[in-house]
Amino acid sequence: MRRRWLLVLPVALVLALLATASRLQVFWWPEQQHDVTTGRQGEPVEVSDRWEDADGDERRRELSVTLLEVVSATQVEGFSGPETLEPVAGSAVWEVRLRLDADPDVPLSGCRLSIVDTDDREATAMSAQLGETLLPGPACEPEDRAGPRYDGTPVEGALPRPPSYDVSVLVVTDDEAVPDRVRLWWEAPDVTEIRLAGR
Amino acid sequence: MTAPARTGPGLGHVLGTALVCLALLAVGSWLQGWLPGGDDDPAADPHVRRGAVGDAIDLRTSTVTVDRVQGTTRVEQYGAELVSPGLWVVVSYTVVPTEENASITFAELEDARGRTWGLVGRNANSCAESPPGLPVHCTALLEVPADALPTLRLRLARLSRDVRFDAVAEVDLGLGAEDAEAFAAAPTFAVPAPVLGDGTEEES
Repeated sequence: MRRRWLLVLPVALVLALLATASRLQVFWWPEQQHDVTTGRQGEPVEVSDRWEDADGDERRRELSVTLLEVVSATQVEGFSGPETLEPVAGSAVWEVRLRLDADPDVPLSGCRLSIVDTDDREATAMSAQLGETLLPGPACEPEDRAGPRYDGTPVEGALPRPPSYDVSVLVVTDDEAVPDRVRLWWEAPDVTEIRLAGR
Repeated sequence: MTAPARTGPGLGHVLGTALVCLALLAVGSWLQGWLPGGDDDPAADPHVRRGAVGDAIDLRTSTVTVDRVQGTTRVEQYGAELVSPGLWVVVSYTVVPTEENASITFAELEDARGRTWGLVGRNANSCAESPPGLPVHCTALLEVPADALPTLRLRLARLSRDVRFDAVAEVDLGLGAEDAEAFAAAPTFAVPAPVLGDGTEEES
């Protein structure tokens, strides 16, 4: 008779684990990029991206992203025009060219972008001093033609953002990295992952 | 008339009960001191990986190597000279991220007396984020009293705000009392900016 209760023990253990699993939701899951939109280089990828406004309300932006190419960067835009880029020993700098199609009223500032290489290592675009060159951080809007801020107000002095435009984002990797995928995101959990052609 | 019969416990029984109670209290008190307190979280203690100067220490998110330890009384950073009444310990180290961009933002010195010097006041850690596989050469500078030098250990970790559950490198800096004199006589050290790439850090 009492042995029957031994059978309940595994059930109780599972229930206890499930009850404590709420911590995953509270501390971990919402911050992970688990809602992945995938695509291939050269093909427009339709993206529906969630973001949270200042009042904590969830908003969405719809856009189309096309990965045009990922090539070795040779130039960087300096204070007085384009400067020749010379990667330091052990490094490589990639230029990720994207085409974005989005309503000019959609806020698109603050994007993040990374290159995942064939060894699954992820190099995220960042502002960096590389030798004598200052690399800019990632930007997904044309310079001087930024769209609205996240509160809807326009950026002073900026011309309206065109509905379709190309941008380049520079990404530093080590010199052994072979790009496999490009990841683009704003806020978790949404992320767009585009595989390079031939991969 | 006879006296009422005695029904209570005997003296031996009472003493025995008291002894057991005292023993239980003592055991309970010992356990209370031995078990973690309400605010303690021993499971969250950082995972300390020990090494010496020159050792590549695996921190899971990166590999960190202390390349050189120097000292002086004067350092120059952002155009200002900072003079220490004790000594500036200047540690040059290299970080190689493993799978994702990483950096080191936690640096702390500790001596054998348990005194710690973290990144407060004028102490600083000059490091930058780097992508996987690409070394970044960094500098930590912390001022300590000269008598701390012979037993100094440096701890480096990923996040200055939180080292719980994370790997922490602990490096014996291998300094001695004789280094204090050399450090006191050393020229001003100009703190270099962090440098990305395979090249070694520029000499100051």
